[in-house]
Amino acid sequence: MPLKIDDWGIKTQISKHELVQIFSKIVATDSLLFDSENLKPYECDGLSVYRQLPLMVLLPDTIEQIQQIIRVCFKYQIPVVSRGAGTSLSGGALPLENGIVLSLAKLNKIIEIDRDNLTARVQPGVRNLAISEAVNDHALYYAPDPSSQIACSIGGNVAENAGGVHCLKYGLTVHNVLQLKVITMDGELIEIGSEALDSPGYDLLALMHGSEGMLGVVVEVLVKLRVKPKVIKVLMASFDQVNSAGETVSEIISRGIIPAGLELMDKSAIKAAEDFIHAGYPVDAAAILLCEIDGSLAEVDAQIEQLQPIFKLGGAIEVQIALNEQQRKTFWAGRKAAFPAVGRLSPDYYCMDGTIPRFQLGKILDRIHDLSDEYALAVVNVFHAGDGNLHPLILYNANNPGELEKTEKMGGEILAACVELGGTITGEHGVGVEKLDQMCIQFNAAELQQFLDIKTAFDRKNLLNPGKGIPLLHRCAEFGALHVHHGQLPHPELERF
Amino acid sequence: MSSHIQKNHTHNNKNDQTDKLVRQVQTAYQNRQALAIQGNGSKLFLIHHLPGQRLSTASHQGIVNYLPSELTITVRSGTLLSDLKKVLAENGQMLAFEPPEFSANATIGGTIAAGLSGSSRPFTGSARDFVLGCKIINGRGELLQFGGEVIKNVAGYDLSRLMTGSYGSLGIILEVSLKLLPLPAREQSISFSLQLNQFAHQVQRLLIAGYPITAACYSREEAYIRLAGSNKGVEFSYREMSQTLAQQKFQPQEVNNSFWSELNEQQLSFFNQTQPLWRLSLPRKTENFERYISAEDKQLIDWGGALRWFYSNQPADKIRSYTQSLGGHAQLFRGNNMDSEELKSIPKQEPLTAALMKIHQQIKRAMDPHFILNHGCLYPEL
Repeated sequence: MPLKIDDWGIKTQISKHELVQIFSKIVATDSLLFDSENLKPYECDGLSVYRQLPLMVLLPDTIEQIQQIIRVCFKYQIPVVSRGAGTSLSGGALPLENGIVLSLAKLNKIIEIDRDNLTARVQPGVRNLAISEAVNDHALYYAPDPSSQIACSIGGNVAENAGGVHCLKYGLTVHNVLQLKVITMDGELIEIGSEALDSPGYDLLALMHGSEGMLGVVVEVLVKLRVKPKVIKVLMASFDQVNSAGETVSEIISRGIIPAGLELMDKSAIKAAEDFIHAGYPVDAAAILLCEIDGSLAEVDAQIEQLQPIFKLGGAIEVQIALNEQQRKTFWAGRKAAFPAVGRLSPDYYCMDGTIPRFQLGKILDRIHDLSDEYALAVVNVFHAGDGNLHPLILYNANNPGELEKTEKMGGEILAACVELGGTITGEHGVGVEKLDQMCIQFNAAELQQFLDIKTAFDRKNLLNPGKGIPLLHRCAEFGALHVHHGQLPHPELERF
Repeated sequence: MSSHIQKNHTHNNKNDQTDKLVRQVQTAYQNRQALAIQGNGSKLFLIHHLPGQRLSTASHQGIVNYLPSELTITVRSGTLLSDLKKVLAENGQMLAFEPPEFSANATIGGTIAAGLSGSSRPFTGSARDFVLGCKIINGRGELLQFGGEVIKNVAGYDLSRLMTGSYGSLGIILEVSLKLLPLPAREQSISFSLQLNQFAHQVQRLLIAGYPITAACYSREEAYIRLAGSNKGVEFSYREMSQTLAQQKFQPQEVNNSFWSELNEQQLSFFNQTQPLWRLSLPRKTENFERYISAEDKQLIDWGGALRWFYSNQPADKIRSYTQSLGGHAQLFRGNNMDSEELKSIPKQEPLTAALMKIHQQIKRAMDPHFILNHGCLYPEL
C-alpha cells in the first residue's frame, strides 16, 4: 500500500556506513540492525497495511545509550521513530526510510513497587499487563487496559494515551501516570511530574500523553496503582434494537451510575464472538450491553438493584448476571475476542476508532449502515458505550484490487461523520500516519499550525517521528479539507489543488 | 430519551464576548501590548503582579452546551463557579475535583487557569483530569479549539489540559468543556484521634480494605475521612469502618460533611494563623517531614498525606530545599505577615530546573510569540 508521508524537509548529513560505525561504539553488535533481513520484523506496526524498512534499528539497554543515540541523530539530522511493542493501530511506529527505529524493548524492568504510595516505577518496555501481574499479590492493579494489554508496552501507552474498557470510571493513561523521565531531542534527560500529585509550571505531563513520540523519548514511567475492588459483577442485557441499547446507556449514566465497564456489541459482533468463543451470547439479539459494576459488596448490590429496572424500562429482552467469576470472565472473553472473531469472518478487517457523544449513537450507526450499503462492505460494531468510543470493523479482502483503497475511503467517511456529530477522529488509537487527512477535517489551519509550533518547541529540527500525528498544511490544502473561518481562507500563500 | 440542554448557543448572544476579546488580543499582538487577563480576580493572590492592559473575561458568560446524560458541560470562562455548581447540582451532578472558590465571584475560567483541586483530588482526580476541551485565543489573537466534548480524544496534542494551571499565560480561555460526575447519593464523614505519624499508614489500610474514600485529612491530632457512594453502600461501609476503627481502640465519631467545604475554602479556624501559608505537595507517605518543623509552625495534611498546608516563618529557601529533598515542591500560597518587600522577592511558584524552564519558554513562545499574555505571572521568564 503506497503511503503519502509529508516531506518535513529533513536532510540527513551522514552516510549509512558512517552511521553504523558511530552507533556500533554506543550499543552492542546484536543491538544494531541494519541489513534488510534483520530490519524486516520492524517494517510495520499493528497497522500492517503500511510497510517501510527503516535505515536501521537500535535496541539500547540503558538511558545513557539512548541519550548518546539521540545526540548523534540530532547532530546528523536523522529522524527517530521510537517503538515499544509495535502494537499501534495507526502506524505510529511505522519506520521512516531515512530514519532509525529506536526500540525500547530491552528496557523492560519493573524498577520499584511502592505499596505505601501505590505506585510502580517501570521502564518503558514493560508490558501493560505485566504491571498488574507484578502487584496482583498485593491486591493492587494498574487500571488502563487496552485490548492489546498482553503485548503493548507502557511507553507506547503513554505515547498514545491508551484507553481500554475501564476508562469511564478509572481514566486513560494520562490519569494514571505521575511522572515520566523523558529524553528530549537535545539529548537532555528531564523529569516531568513527580512522586507528588502535582508539579510546578505547565502541565507537561498531560502534553506528553498522546503525543505519539513526537515530543520526546519516554525512558521511565511512574504509574499509579489502584486497590482491586472487593467485588466485581457483570450484567449482560440483550435488546432487540440497537437504539434501545444506546439509550439505556445514557439512562444508566443519567441516573448517577458509573459502571466500571459498559460495552455494546451489535448483532454481527455478537454472532462473530459467539461462534468463536461460545460465551453464551444471545445470537438473536440486535445488541447486547455488558455492564460491569465494582466496589464493596453493599455498593455492588445497591447498584445492581438500581440497574435492573433501568434495563427493563429501556427495553431489554433479557438480563443475565454472571453467577460466578468463571461466567464473568466468559462474558468478557467474548467481547475481548471480538477482533480475532471478526478476523475469522473476513480475510481482512480495518478497525476504526471514532468517538461521538453517546446520544448520537443512533445517528452514527445509521450512517455506518448507509455507508456499508453504499460501499458494499460489511461492518461489525463494537463500542465502548460508556465513553462514546466506537470501533467499527470494516470487512474487506486486500487481494481484491482496489478494495483496501475503497475501505480506507469508507473509513474516512465514518470519521468525518464522527466529527460532524460532535465527536473526534480518534478516541484511543492515535492519528499516526492513518488519520492525517482527517486531522484536516477536525482542525483548522491555525490550530494545526499551533500543534506544529508546539512540536518545534520540543524538537526544533523536527526529527522525532516526523510525518506522524500532525499533517503539514499543504497536505490539507491538497486533501481539500482546510476549514474556512470567517469567510477567509487561511494561508492564502499556499497553492491549492 | 437523554436530556440535552442548550443555552445561549447563538453567536450573537449578548454574553458572548468572543469577537470583542479576539479583536482586543489581535490589536495587542500587533502593538506588542502586554495584556493582564483575569476573570474576577479571586485567584490573583496566587500569582505575581500582572503588567499591561486589563483584559477581562468576567462578562463572557453562559452555558454553551450541557448534556447531563453525556456527563459533559461546555461553559464560557466568565461564568461564576457558584452558578455552574448550582446548575450541575440541579441535575444531580458535580465538578468532582471540588475546586475552591475563595470568593463568591470566582469564575470557571479562573478555576481552570489556576488548576486548583480540593480534598477529593487523590481519589477522584484533579482539575486537569476533568478538562476535555477548550476554546482559547492564543497570543497571536487566533481563536483556536482543542479537545472536545467526548471523554476519549487523542487527536492532536493535548493543549486543553496544558491550559489548566497555566494562569492565562499560554492563551485566554474562552470556553472549557468538562467531564462531570454524578453527585453521590450519600456522603458520610468520620473523625478519630490519631498520631500524626500514623495518618498516611491508616489511610492506606482503609483504602486497601476497599472503603469508598473520597477525602482524607489530618488536623490537630484528628484524622478525617469521607466516604461517598450509594445510600446502602456508604451506610454499610461507614458502619463496618467504624467498627474496625473501634476494634483498633480508636473512638470514631461522625462529622458534618460541611467540614470539607470549610477546609477547601480555608474557612476552618486552622486557617486563621498569621505566618505565611505554604502549600506543600509531597509524596503521600512522607515520613521525615516533621523533623524540619519548628515549634510555632502549624500544618494541616490533606489528600491522604500528599498535600500539606503549612504555616511557617521559616525562610522560603529552607522550606523549598527540604520539600524538594523529600520529592515535593512548595508554593507560597499567602504571604500573610510577610514583609511586602520580601514578598515581592520570593517566587510564589517553585523555581524550575534550567532544562524545564527552557522547554517552558519554548512552549510560551509557540503559544504567545510576543509574550503579551500574563507575562511574568508564574515566572519572570514566561
